[in-house]
Amino acid sequence: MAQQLNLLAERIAQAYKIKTPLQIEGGGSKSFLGNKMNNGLSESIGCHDYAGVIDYRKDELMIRLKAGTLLADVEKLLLDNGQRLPFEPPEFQGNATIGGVVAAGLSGPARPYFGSVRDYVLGVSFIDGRGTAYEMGGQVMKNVAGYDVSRLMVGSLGELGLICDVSFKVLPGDEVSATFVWPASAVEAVNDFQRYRRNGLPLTGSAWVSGIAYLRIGGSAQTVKVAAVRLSGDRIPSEEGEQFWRDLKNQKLDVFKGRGPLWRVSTEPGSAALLDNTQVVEWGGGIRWISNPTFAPRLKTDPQTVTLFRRKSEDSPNETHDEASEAIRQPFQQLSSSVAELNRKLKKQFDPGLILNAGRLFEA
Amino acid sequence: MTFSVKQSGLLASLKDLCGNRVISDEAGRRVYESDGLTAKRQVPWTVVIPETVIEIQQIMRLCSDAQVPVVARGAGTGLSGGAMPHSEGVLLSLAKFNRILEIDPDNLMARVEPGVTNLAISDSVRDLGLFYAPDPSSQIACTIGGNVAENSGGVHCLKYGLTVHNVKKLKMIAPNGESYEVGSTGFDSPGLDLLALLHGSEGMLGIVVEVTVQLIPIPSKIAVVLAAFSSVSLAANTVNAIISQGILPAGLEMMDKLAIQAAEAFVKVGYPLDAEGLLICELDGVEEEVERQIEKLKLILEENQAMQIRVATDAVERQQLWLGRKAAFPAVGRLAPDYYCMDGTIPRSALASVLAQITEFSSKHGLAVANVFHAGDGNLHPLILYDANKSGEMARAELFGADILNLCISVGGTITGEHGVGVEKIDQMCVQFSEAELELFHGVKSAFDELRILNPGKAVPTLSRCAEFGAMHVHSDIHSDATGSHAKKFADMDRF
Repeated sequence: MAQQLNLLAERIAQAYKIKTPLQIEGGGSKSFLGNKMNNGLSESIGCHDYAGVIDYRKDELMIRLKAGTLLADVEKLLLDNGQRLPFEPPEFQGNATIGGVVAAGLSGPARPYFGSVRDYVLGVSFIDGRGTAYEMGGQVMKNVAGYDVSRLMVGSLGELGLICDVSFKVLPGDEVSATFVWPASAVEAVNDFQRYRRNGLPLTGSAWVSGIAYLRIGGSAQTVKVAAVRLSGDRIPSEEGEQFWRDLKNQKLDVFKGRGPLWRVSTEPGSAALLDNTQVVEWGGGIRWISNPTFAPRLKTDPQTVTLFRRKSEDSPNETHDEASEAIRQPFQQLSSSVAELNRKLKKQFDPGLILNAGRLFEA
Repeated sequence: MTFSVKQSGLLASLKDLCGNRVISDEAGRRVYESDGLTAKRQVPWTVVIPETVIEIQQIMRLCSDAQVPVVARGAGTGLSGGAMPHSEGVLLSLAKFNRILEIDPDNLMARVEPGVTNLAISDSVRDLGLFYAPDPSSQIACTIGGNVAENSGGVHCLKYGLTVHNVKKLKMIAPNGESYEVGSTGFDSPGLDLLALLHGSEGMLGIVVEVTVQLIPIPSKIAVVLAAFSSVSLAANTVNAIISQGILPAGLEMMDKLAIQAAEAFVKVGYPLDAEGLLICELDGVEEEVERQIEKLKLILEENQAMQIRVATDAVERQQLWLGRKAAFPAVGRLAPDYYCMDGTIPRSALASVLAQITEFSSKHGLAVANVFHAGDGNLHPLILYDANKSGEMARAELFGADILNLCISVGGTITGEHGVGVEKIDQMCVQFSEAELELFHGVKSAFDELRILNPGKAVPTLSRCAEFGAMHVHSDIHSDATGSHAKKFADMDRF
């Protein structure tokens, strides 16, 4: 094992022994996500010094990366080689690391058409809450030996271990990408997205923002040319289109600005729920963003998966600081009691001292 | 581990619950003694065939209380002995759960019971222009519940992924009979990704009682291209050439001479008998794109010295070209009384050298081998031919198989790409994983099944078993050092 990893493993082993909580940090770009932890008492730990490409086999569609590698660097390397991470993870302020991409498990506009982060993870090496190192999964496309712990790490928000390196399946990039826009209500846009999907168009992104539907298609020049004829919207200049999808995934659009809470509601794409209350629709209808301050999800009973992306800003001048309502505002959909119990039991197997990001994803 | 079977009491309770759907007579139980891996047999203590989820919950509660093992079984087509019964346990057949519960074409989903066959899902949505992508060769018989348990692949997973990529939600029954759901009909679900963890868990963590699968629109154009080569290594290298030039086929399969000849003799689809290696490549998408890809592919094939190229675009001809491949296992089965099917996966770049080594193993062990595999994924299915009635041949076949699996690990691959570990490859788990990793697997198991009543003795070996087996954990030869460069471990050692 690399020297840096040995040191990290020793630190975790020591923390386990003396029961010191550790807060795992990558680039800090997604620090808003999840429950607030009891910081101040925690030390931070991360793979900042462990960055770079371990192995890139272009012909095998496989890249293995150290966790501290910047996402932006990886995307550039792949782009230079005509390839991409198909799940298009957000980079937010541009400092997202590969470890964080996997730990947070957030995917971008191509998600409904190409799959999520975990769909492209082939292997993960990590150090658990005892300081023990593991290599799970591998670098090959198919692997069913042992439980799929590498995919379990995706979206675990550091609760199960410190991710040290990750192997991804990558795909060839699109030769051409084109964005089309048309005016629509949210309901109309979702219907349009579903129709185009059913018709087999090569969709790579779909969104609705403030009365405008956006659709991205991609593939070879020929594919895009043929598909374009079947679309009713106006094609916008490709740079403008790409800027839109970047701003959408990184939440830089004006509609994301504000101080109130921002909720992400994940649902069946065709569901009518909340379409009259949403500011942004993504993923063919599968995601509805809601920044209406009066929105109060019932996290225990709603059928959708709700995630709080931005808490109500505490220094907001127009809102009274309401500690009571803030305290009961959990950032995630509640787990059923059986599933919550399974989460807790797994946590104990990976982190018996409950020292790693304890409570960030679910109540310990 | 021994179980105290409170047999008489439990049997009476099971019969109260399921009546004549409890099979306790010897002849009836013997029907279930093995799955697709017939070399490993075990008659179960009793067989129960529930009809409702509530019955499954009650059976699990009873077995949990009595601490009696439960082995779930779908169609019993698995190739690693994952559904081999336990001598003191209940064999839980899910055969009656064969209904498609709901089809939601707008959201591209179907909700089905676990005993529905893989092919039945695609059949039921074809009129809607949709299909379910993973398609193991056994798809006519294998069930979706078993597909989840094994994380099954098939010939189309290069582009469309494995079962884990195509299932959105599962309803499970825990060993104590409790019901829970993981995943969602949307794109996200809260908490840890238990949906991913349950895929490929080989019936060790819970009983699958309902599966919501993702459906995909049928592409408007599909073409199958067949290319014959004068050597296996030419064919193997062409696989890499195709993918490195940006073509992502829906499927990319390879067969060697023995497999080609066996398949041709069996189904007579016009495979070239003089070829040493055959590639079958399926392209799909919008019409113009597929046509462009066919032209590009032909160029690559010609550059790589293909001796014959056939393109099929109409459905009948396409099916013909696939028929030989899909029938390859039974076809090879006609060549010898028995065959042993391997399932290692390797990096694609190692294909040619691994195949050469398998040929050497073949002469070393004195047994013929036919190679059929998902070349695009690097997933090998060497079929070792033997005759169990000839003294020592079965043991030699197993040694041959172990050599292949160890080879797969040493080139950075895995012992199983899609068939699972079951009982068959359990010793090789000791080679692929470290002690700590195996212990973590046992930890995962105990989080779901503290009493260890689900499918005991499968998938993950105990550390004492590994010690007895005496194999040393071998990591792949790719590893990183502090500077980020990678080097081969034991670089001075000969590699296969």
